[in-house]
Amino acid sequence: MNDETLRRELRGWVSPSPSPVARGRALHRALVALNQAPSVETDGGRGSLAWRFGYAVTILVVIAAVLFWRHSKSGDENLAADREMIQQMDKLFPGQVDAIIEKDGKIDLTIAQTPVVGPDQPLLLVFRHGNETIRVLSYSGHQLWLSLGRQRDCFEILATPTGGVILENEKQVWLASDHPVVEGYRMQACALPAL
Amino acid sequence: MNLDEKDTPETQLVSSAQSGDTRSFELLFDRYYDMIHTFAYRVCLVETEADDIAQETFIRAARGLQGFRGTASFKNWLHRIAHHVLTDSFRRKVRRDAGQTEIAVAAELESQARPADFVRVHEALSKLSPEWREAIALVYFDDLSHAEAARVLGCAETTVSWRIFRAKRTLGKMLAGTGDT
Repeated sequence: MNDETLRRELRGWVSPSPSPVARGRALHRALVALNQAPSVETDGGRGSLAWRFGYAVTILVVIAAVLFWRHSKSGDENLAADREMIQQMDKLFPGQVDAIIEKDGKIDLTIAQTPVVGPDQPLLLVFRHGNETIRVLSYSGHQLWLSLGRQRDCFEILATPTGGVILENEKQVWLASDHPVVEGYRMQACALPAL
Repeated sequence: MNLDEKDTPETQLVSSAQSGDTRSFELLFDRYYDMIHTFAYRVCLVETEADDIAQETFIRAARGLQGFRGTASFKNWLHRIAHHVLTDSFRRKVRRDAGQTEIAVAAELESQARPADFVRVHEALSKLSPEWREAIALVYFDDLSHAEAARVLGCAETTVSWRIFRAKRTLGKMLAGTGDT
């Protein structure tokens, strides 16, 4: 079969039209998502003060404990500690944890105000530039805002079926297996092991 | 929808939607929902899954709209989100049970009265890997260039060309009736 015939054959294949019910449901849920604040950042984001204050102390205690435990370990144990940390956060805020970002000893927790999607494969990304290290704990399929140097950009992270990690923004895609440099930062990433 | 709204330039709609104007987002949804649903169906080959993929695509688009800066076309941006949703979906299936996917695809044809020509192409497409189907859907159905498809799929242009080449060879044999798996 030549190319033109194949093209014609495929073009003649009309896939089913979406049902009005599916369309209406999708529109409704997308509008709900649009109207929700995408996320609340602990360092000055949106959300009510009462809501933030209510969980802030608990988070700090949990993060401090996990950090203390993690810094006393290394290698695989460290990854297990990272897994433990994001799991504990997810127990506190089911379906709401977008990312935990550690930079210069400061922790930023990005959390949605309402559960959005179920947790997916947890991932660890580490960005290094000189003495600066940024560690990011998040989930596959999540979008997060990162400040790399002077650049602040929205990235999406994705786990691959083979255990790799893909990072992308609107302009570019990076594969962790290539040990890429992202905005001047050397990136390493991996899927976190199951507990 | 009035005529003015229909003719509103896409960049203006995106900009308004980014400012929280739900009507502009609805207009973008109306323009692209069918396209994304069709793309999803051509890749997953199951109508109910295409419903879910299209829905999730627009939910993620709504959540990530602030991050869209217009360096790619809105259409290609949506395609890329749909690609991510599809990838996540297939990864979850691999983790669960690959056999269930084949059952769902077969059930799709049994549950609906489809014309013979439709079934023939559906069966041929089902012999391709999801990655090959995505490449075919973007290049053959949606008329993206190999370079544009590569940007959507996050891979090299040569990878797209290779997937198209292999997919065409398999489809050609399947549709010509000589079979190939």
